[in-house]
Amino acid sequence: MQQRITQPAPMSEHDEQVLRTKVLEEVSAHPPTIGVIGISGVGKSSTINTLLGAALPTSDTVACTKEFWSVSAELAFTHGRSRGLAAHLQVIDAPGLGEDVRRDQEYLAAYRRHLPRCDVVLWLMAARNRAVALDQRYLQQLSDCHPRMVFGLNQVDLIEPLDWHPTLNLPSEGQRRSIGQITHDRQARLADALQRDIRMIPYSAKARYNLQGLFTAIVEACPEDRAWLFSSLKNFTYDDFLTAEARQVIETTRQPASGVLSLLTQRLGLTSPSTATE
Amino acid sequence: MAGLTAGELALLQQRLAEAESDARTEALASGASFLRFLERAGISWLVQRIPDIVANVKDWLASIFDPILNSF
Repeated sequence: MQQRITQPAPMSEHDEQVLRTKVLEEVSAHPPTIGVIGISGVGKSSTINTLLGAALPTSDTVACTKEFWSVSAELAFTHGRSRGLAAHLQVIDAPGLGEDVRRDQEYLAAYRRHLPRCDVVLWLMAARNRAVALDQRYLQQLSDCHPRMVFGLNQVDLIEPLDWHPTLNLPSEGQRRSIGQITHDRQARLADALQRDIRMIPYSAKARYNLQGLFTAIVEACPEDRAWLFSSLKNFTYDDFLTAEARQVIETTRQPASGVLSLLTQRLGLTSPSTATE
Repeated sequence: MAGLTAGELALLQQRLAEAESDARTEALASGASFLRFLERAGISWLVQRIPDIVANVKDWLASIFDPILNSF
């Protein structure tokens, strides 16, 4: 079969200006916006920082989120005349949900006001936390605010028996079993509260474990003409979880890249994803 | 082999393959999304010329090229 395009047509200065203008209009009028919900301490800010290169303050001891955040971030036009396009990533992250029952109604009301303008809502839980009643209650109150929710189970590296593999940076066999059980349990309990099926994605922001699985779910949940905004703000690579030692082993065993990506990287003289460490 | 057993290596390769597969799914969804955006913005004709502008953005490569190669 004859391939009708073998070389992309060059983009003129006018073309670039048109594209740049349209992208700027889009990100100015409708910045990429993500709602992050979770009980205090589940790692909402650190997750957003890790996924999207934001710089939200984090702390192991006190709640850092005091207001709804808007973070300046650069879209991934890194070369050519369109480099440096900036977007304001908006993070809807209510302060202290679950910390003080007297203020919860205020926070829930704020969420209800802000969530409808989010591209996607990320609902986070901590894997070690067995008590899910608050999550169930909040979810029931907020579920009608947004149709596109992604559920993440953070801190799976801290699951018993606490023997995360240091060289592989992966859960031990015992932890893998526990992660499966806990994920299934939380999934079922939230689904019960929501009266519909959900998919819970286990990950660890700190260990950079399964970030790609979580991010893919976010992109897939976005409105179909807006997902590219989030991909362009992505701040990690799928193989980030590899330790230096593991990477070395993998490099010696990896087969050459194949398919379309290989064709493109060869044609454009770029680093293949198998060696990308950005 | 760097202190890894065969089982550990297999585990590592499996996790990497899963992550790679997820990354590809994301890239395709993102590429399709960008095309939808261009359509909505009324500049879908730019699709043929997009590679120039994103040529150095690794994360966008699969996203942008796959739909293009499959569309023509």
